[in-house]
Amino acid sequence: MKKENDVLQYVSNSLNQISAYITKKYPEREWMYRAQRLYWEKVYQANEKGYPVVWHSLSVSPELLNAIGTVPVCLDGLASTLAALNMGANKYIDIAQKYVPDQICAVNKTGIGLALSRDIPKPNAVIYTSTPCDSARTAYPLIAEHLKVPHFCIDTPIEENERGYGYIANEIRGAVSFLEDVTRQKLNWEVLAKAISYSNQAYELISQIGELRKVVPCPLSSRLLVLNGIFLNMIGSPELVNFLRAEYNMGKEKVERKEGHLAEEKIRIAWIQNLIFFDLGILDWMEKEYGAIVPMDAFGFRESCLIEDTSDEEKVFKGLAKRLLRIPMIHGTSCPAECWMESVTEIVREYKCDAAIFAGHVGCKHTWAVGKLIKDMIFDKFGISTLVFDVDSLDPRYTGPEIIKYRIKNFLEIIQ
Amino acid sequence: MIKELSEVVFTPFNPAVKAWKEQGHKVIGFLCSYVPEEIIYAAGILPYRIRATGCTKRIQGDVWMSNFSCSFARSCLEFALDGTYDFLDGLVASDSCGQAHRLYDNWRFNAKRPFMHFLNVPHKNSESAISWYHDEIINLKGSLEKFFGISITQESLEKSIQTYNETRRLLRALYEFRKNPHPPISGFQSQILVLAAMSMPKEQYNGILSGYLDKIRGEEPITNYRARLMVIGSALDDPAFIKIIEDQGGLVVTDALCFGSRYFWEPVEIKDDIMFSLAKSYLSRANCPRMMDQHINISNFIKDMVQSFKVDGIIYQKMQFCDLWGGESLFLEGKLKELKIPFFPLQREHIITNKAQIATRVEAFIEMIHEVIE
Repeated sequence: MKKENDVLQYVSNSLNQISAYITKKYPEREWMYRAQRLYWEKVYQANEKGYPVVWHSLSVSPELLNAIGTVPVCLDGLASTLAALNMGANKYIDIAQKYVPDQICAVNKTGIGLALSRDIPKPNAVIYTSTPCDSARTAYPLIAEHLKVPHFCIDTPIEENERGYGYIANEIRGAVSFLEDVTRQKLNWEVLAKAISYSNQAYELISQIGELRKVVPCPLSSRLLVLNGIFLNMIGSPELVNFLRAEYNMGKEKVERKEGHLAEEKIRIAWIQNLIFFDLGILDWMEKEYGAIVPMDAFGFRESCLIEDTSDEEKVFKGLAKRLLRIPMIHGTSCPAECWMESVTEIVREYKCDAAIFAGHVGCKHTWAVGKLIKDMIFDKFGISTLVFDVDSLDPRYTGPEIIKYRIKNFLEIIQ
Repeated sequence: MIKELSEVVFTPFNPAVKAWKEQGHKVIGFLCSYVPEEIIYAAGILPYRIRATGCTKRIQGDVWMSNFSCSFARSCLEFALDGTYDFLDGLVASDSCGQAHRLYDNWRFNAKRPFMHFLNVPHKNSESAISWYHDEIINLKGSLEKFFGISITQESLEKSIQTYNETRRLLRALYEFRKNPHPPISGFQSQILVLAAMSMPKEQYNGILSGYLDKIRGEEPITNYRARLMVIGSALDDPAFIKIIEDQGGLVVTDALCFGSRYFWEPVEIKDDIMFSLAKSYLSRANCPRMMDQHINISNFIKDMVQSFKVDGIIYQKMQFCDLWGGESLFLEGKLKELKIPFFPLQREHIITNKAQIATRVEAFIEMIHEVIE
């Protein structure tokens, strides 16, 4: 592979550059990019160091993959990270569209495009779940088949009870056996227990951060919600814990000082669909121009989900199964509509929101299909308005930042 | 006979369903390939496959599900909300795909039927998945018994499965005729016969189809076609689409559609545990790419059909916003190239508004096949 086409090198280098720039200009914000930088550096170096690499979908636990001695790469995370960097995800979306319809989710199209492009080293295996959507269901097995690498699906019936957890726990066991066979390495329970101790800390911190964000004025920026997306890629790592602890400490200090992130917080927005990955500046612009902050988004982690006893295999696997189903995006959008309604209700009520924005990712058909139910419910329960528009969260060519800003501007001016 | 069954297909509350209801019986709609309708039929209730054949305008379906959803699902919702499906006493749905799941959500929020039940269907055909699905259908049986105050006995289940297997046998016999170089039935007519099977009592249907099969040899063979075609892909519940293809000189001789051969191809083999037999049978079917481990079986089924029906070309119709069949092309195209069979991907909407465009493209495809054959 030519080095100039190495996507992982590009991502790793870009984050190093961003981190260096931030450290120089805003040294107090260095922690915001440190964890991501280290994650992508490790991923990039994995191939050179000869570590087995496993691509996984967003709902597969990286703790397990680490404990088997592989380097996990969250393909969905890579797609959204690429979209946020200068390079963008467009190249890979275009490659995928030669083979699959354009309406497939751009997160998955980017994954397909990467696999077809050979701009990324072939993994040793691919592991995925049957959530959250048809697009992911179709993409992952096909990527693996195309690359001719072994793959495994953790089947995930959407049922948040003991029966559901038990079934998925059994599927996770199957995934472990599969990976042990592929890598000829055994699951190291000590490594897994350590990773779970980190992930427990991460869950506690993210729920505490969620509590802080309820405070008026909100002590933390909207942009941090996007950065918190690394939770899925990095759960079980000390780097994620450090990131979240720094975030928590910053928020706590501000709350103690009765300070908000904004000098004057005028409006609190519930963001109820995907955030816009290709331009995080839109959230900054909303804050700066309108004093509009997003205290929480519907796909944002905000609840604790601990695995108390790592000595009991059954409890560990069931705990991981429960966590899988409680991933906000899975719980909210793959379950019956009531789950998303409850989630949005909680956000609007507890985060004291004045309005809502449904920036509907065009690839997210199962959310669009109940968008009106959600919008109507928000109005009926709280009497507040929801701005609805379509975007592609990864591809600015679908709806560019200026159009998005124009729509948001009109909405905010009306409700203010 | 085809004319008689056309009314069954193109009129949702058709004469057969009306007669059934007039006798005091119930009707339950079901969505879609992974609901074992034999259980409903064993309860003395008519299972009716939800579709939207003949839907020509969509207002509420688009409003509730948006334009970014599968238009088949939106059309079905239109029928649910405009009163077309008011004759249903219940609905049994499953998460066969994300859109079917959301259709069910919108249906129950906006036009709830007296009996509503949801099946959580696994995405794999493994031992534990069959066990899970077995529990799901046991639960369905229990819900039906409780709600309707009836008992679904072993005998009634066996009888129901036998009746359904007879339908399957008859439909396969019908498809056998389509293997002929000059079949006595078109693709358009065949789909009417298959859709009718989903929309009326099976005993009545079996009698009609059986009678038709006795007479079919006397039908005039179709000789004036230019290519033997197979249709695969998304949910296709409208024979008018097949007719567009056949009007251009193609003859649709087979399919791999859930509203076609995939509805009836494999019988349910009754083993010791009848519910387990049903679970195993339904979960093992290569009906839809929603099953994560059936991709290879779907392509093998298509390959077998191509060979046994001497297919000259495949029309792969993909409903816009149907990710499952949309994405499948990445896998299928490679497999079909191995067969060296011409292959035509066609994106479409449920309501056919571009008939002339489809016709032109199909005509060009048939021309291309001719060049290959010659």
